[in-house]
Amino acid sequence: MKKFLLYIACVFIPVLTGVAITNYVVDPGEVYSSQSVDKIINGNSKNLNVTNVPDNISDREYKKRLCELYRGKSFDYLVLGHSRSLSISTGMIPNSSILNLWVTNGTLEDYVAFYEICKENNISYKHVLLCADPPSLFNANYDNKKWMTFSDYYYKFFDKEKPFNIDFSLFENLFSFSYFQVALKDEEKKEMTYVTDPINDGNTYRNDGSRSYKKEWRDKPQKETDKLAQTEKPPMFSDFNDLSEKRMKIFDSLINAIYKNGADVLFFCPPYHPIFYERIKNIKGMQDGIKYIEKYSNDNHIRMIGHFNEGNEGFTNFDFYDQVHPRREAVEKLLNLYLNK
Amino acid sequence: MLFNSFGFLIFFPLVVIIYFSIRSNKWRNLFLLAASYYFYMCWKPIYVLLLLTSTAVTYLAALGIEKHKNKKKSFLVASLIINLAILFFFKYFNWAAENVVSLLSALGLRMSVPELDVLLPVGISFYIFQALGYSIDVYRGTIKAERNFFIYALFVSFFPQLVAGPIERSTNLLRQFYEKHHFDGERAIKGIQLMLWGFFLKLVIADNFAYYTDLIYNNIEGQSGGKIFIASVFFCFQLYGDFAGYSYIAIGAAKIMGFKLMDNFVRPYFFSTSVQDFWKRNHISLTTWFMDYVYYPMVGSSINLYWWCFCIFFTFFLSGFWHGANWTYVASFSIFGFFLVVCILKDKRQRKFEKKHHLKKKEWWLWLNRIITFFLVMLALVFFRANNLADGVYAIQKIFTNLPEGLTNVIIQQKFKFVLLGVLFTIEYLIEYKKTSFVERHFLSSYILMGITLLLTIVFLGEFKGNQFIYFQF
Repeated sequence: MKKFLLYIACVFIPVLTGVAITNYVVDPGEVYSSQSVDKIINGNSKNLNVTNVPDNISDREYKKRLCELYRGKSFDYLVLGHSRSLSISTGMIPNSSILNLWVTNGTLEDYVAFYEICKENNISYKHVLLCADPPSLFNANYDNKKWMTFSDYYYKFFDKEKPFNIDFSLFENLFSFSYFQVALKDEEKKEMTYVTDPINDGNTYRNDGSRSYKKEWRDKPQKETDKLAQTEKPPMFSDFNDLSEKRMKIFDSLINAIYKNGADVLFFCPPYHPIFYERIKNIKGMQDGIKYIEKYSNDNHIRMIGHFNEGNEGFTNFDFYDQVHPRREAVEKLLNLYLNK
Repeated sequence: MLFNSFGFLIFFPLVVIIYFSIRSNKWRNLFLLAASYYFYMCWKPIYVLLLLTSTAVTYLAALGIEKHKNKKKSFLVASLIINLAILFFFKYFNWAAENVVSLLSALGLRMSVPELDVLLPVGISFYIFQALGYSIDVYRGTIKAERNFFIYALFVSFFPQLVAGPIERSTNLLRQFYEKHHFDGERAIKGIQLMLWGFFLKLVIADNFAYYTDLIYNNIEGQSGGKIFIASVFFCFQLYGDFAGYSYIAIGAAKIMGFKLMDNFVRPYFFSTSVQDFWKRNHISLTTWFMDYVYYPMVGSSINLYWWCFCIFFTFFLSGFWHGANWTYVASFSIFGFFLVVCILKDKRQRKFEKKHHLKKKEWWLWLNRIITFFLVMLALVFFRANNLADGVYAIQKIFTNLPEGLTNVIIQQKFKFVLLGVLFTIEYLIEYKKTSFVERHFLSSYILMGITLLLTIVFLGEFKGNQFIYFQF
């Protein structure tokens, strides 16, 4: 037993302690602190954009604080979505104000939570632009727990008490080897600065909640973009065999709630990178999901902004940053086509 | 629950602590059974019914075989039919239907068969074969039927090896549940070391190589011969890292609790001197299963060399189907079958040649055979990785006609992976040539040093995208 305990003490304790300390101190995703979010909100409160924002900030925390900042305000368009809608910004839809509440890996549960957060902050809007990607809405096997950051709001939507649940995620993250690797690669952070330009060299978070990517990502060679389309597949597409009945009901409830609130809904359905679409179009969940969105929009007279890759918007490989994220210009083109006629 | 997940890192130590805290062996086994079923239910709870069905059928069949000796064949056949029917339904139905429809269509006949919307239950090929092996062993009289249902259920569902092997034999594992295991610090250290080695193989070797392999094989049209060749080499180690990794984690986990599982891999890719030798070192539990339950019964007492050749080819052809509902697996294993036939036919002549020229123990001769064997294995595994037969043929064509194109560039670009291969080779060389006496002489310090090195390598170089083990799809 002594040898065993000594072995554990010498092998695991130092390494895991080192990992935990590095994860806590470097904290590349600001899981344990919110300095970056504080600074962004401070800038936005002065109607300024903020650039050189680190890649991995807690954008859910930021969006909640943004809603608190805009308490009582009204907007023409509210965007509920994930990173495929991050570039939708004021100016893309003429004479319209936009509040973009996209979040990384946003799922239906996030949309519901942010609907409630807006309600709590008396934020009003005329239209909701809802990012209607089938896997993020209906893939039951996509177990992304990020929405649980605001699970209180999610359960409030259903008038339910949040179930008792011990959240191990902060503890788990402390010993996460992948987080450690990100922490090691954490480049020397440039000072975040307040700017008026919407597009800058660094990641820029605008005061309407939208984002523009850093120059390095925007201007990478097309070959790299096409390679990502050939090889990478986001986790939400894995095991996407069926549409979750439960999520379809939640989806319906959310749409009904928005209408009851006096707003209307538009489905934001941009294409995917053509090479990537060839890889995913035969996934059963995708086929069923696209049909479901189309039928739902038909039956409920909801406009679709884009029809994934089945529309004729003329998107090519050059309209994408990677396998799933359309370029800002392509998003603008799409919105123009459907909204600005 | 994946082995490389936070959940398992909580689950396993808890199971070990509770296991050794329970004094009674009976309650220990019941606890392990509950833990194993919980482990399996983490995938998809409803599929535990299949595990239970296979367990109950083979348990009852074994009792029937022993009790009704004049009807023992009927019980065995019933056990085989029911279990293979379950396997066929979940694993092969859609594929078989697709092929029948294609065949009929080619003959000008139209037929539609409904597509079943079923997910392949994790580990089904493994536990069904393990249970069938038990049925056959009881039929042959190799082992007595297990009367305790819970012990037998634990044998089939024992969580370290439930979803991806090793496919254990009843003669090895069943009796171990009757032994009371005491916690042994040195054995636990060795067990943890095996697990760390397994995680290294999976997270550092397999998952790092997977990236390039997928990049090339998922878009094979237009790739140069050099790139395909390197991707094929990498795939061999991806497969090895993935599967051997899982096996080592399973063996290590069982060892900590005092159970000895069979060795499943013995350094097959660097040290096999023939394809025959490769299959004595690679996925040993499956190979021996097919040899013991298919090949040897077919061969019987025949001394006809050509019959042996047919039997070995057929055995490997069949084992291709075990791997999955895709003609690429069948093609891959048929190629292995062909190589083994050649091995059988040339064996006598080769031994004469080696004796005449005193080659048997010459290092250069051994290494020449190892290199040739690796190349042959790599060629057979091209089809294992290819997305379809056409891609496999294209890859082989390119390797033979276009190898130099792009080869140097790829080697330079992928130099980090070659460094990893070098590390893997060095470690396996030391083990193969038994240059590890220093480890036993300085047990604790050696294991601590190795443990820290492995853990740090995993932390810094491991891929943590949560990639599933390849063999889970079987």
